[in-house]
Amino acid sequence: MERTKVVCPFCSVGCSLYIVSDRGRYAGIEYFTESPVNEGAICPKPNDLSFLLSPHRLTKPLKKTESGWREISWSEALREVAERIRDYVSKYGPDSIGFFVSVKMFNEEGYVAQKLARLLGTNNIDHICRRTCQFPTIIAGKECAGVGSLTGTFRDIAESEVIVLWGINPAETFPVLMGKYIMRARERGAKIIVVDPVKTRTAWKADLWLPVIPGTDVALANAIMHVLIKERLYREDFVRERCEGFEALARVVEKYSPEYASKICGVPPHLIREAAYTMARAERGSIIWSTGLIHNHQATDCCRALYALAALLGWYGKEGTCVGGLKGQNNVEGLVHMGVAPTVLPGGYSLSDEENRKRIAREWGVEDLPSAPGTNMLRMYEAIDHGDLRMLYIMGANPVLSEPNTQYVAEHLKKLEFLVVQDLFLTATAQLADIVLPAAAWAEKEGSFTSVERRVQWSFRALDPPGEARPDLWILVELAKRLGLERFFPYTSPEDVLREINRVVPSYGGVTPERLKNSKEGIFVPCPSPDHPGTRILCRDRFGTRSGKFVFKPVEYVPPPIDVSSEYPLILVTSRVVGMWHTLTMTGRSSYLVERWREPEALIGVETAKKLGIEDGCRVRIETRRGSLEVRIRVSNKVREGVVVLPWHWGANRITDEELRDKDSGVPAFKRVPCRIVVVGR
Amino acid sequence: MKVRYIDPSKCIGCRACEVACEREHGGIAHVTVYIVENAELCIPYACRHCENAPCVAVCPTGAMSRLDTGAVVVNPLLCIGCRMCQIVCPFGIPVFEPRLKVMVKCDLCRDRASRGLPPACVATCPTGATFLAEEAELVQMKRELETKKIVSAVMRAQQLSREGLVGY
Repeated sequence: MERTKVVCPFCSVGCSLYIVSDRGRYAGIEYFTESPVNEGAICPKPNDLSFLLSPHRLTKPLKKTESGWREISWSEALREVAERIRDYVSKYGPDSIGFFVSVKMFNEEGYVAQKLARLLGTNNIDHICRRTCQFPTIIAGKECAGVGSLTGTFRDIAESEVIVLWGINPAETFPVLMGKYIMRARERGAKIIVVDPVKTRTAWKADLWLPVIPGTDVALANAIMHVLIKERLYREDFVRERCEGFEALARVVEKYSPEYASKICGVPPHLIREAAYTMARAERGSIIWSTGLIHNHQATDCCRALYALAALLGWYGKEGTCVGGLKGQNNVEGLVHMGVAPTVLPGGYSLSDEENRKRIAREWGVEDLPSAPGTNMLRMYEAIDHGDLRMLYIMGANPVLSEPNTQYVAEHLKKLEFLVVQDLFLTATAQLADIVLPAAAWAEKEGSFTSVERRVQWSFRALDPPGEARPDLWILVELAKRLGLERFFPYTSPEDVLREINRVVPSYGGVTPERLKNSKEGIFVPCPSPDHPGTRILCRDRFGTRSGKFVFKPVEYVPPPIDVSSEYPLILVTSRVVGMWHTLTMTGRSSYLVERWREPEALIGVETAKKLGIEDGCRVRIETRRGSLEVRIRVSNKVREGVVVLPWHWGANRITDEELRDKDSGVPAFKRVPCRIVVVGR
Repeated sequence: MKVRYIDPSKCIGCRACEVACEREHGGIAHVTVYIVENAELCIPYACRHCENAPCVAVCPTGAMSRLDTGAVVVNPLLCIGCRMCQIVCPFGIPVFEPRLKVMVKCDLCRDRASRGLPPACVATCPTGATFLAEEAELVQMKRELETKKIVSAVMRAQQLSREGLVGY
């Protein structure tokens, strides 16, 4: 039996654990107590990784034929994919193909994927989280503070005097962050404020719960700022010295008195005031949010408002402060840094930044890179409709189940002339593919992940992949060879790729393979040189904006364009459960998890249930204008009236709506879908 | 001797202990997390390993015994499945395992203990709701915490007194 350290493949907290193996085969786990992130503790998900041994793992490349799937060899599969890519590029131009990448890939793999796309001449590369969760935070963060990442680390959350958890339920979705950092802060006397339409298990541990109506967060945030400004409770020196645009903010929030805002957001005025006073008392505090804030029609505005709130409180640039959105997937932070995006190059440079674009091109051995923005995931559907996008290569993502309106997504993927899907299992998306490539799971290969607190850590290879499953890096390099691009991909290991990243991405300049593999705690980026200790606090002396100051971007509350009506009077909010992950590709095949989290259970408030004749535990049909879904429902006094909460893992996106999106980022309004409920039976 | 303590006020109901326990014990979890919504409490429920364990006292074959580590365990070779332990246990802990025809219960991860490792429920718990401590450690910890509260309360009172707001 052997033990190998890996970084957990689920959420973005970055816990480490040992995988126990028997001659390369998964045999269990052990707790890695030396990790400074999780001190050995892990949530239920990595406690059962038996999906790795599932007999349904893909072990051979598959080709769809009229008589079903046919196993083919790697050389045949790669030859065909390469031929099709060459065909489309030469006939219709490089923008007729697109790459759609998993945020569970290592930094090295994501980097190589975007390099391949760009050397083929297209910026059509995107990752699934960008358009489903984290983009509003990045847009607002860049505008206001000049950063898209958390401004502090988990340790700073633990050292805060007040922690505001806005639209985030870490007890369910980031249990180690909750246990090791938030609860510790609370034990030390920190006040916890939770903003959520549900009194979640996180809110059970809070000092203050603000039961906001989904999608009205701007009104609530503006009201808190109104109180801070009206009663001169904000940090005047910080605002004077380090911020700009305060007068405009003050003008906009002027009308958002707690009484006025309360009518919009449903939070009683005295709670709004109490929240403001509690925050104002703290010199050090954190405001963190997640999809609860983001999955609505005004997501980017919500983020702008919270960045502004933190600036009024002076919660930037010092230990004990941490502000930003928690991206959920384990390596979404890293892939943003690696330039896996249609408009951004490795290092976060815009495509229009000619100097850096050409510098990267030279590093790669070409003159220039394509500068026209690529098709993002959102516009992909249009591009397919117009025949602009003909081939798509999806790696480790399952958009059919994770994007709004399953039927809409599936119909579009079917319209493609050629679809390649690379995954561990024959997912709902893979079933639509022409070629399916069997991928190795994260523990069957090695590389680096960047957790959401900007901590880069190395995950070692613990296991052998089953059958002919191969690491994404191997597949991409082999494909590049067959495309005649061999000389640009001279990699024999992930370490080779990371050395190139050290040269190309300045903030990773010091994140060398040697340093990373010998470090139990990893390295906080930015880390520009090998002797640099890494950066715990961002925006210390200046913000990343052009002026170096924090920029207030005042926002007004706007009601959703398509809202609840007499036909669809309730608000559907999709949620998650702690033991399952996203579309169940992995956790849905681990039996100890499945027996505990077997099926979705919707939640509804007591009064709403009474009005609709719903009894606790009965079966109902939730209907939206996109479809219907039958589930068991529980009546609970922990949910705001008028709201229906439904965990999305089990196919809830059949009834979510692709048209309801944030106006600035295109992120779906998964938490503000008008719906109605029909009782089906006991 | 370290005791396994469970503090429900810290539990967030993630059920990692259940999954960890089931993995360690080949498909049977000996801890259950009860989520009591109205009380807003999550209660990890497991054997207390009583000092004067009624299950040990009542066992007719000596199958139930207390190890030096403090763990009350069943010897499956001696157990006859008479369920006496089930009757006397105030917590409803031992359960009958129909395939093996013996009683089963938490053994504080005997295998792991022999390798110097804490029970799986303790090792995995994200919040420290389930933890190992010497009795003296626990008492000390609680007293320190309370002392700090008293100190800050007194300091606050003194401050108010200096400001002339209250007499102290």
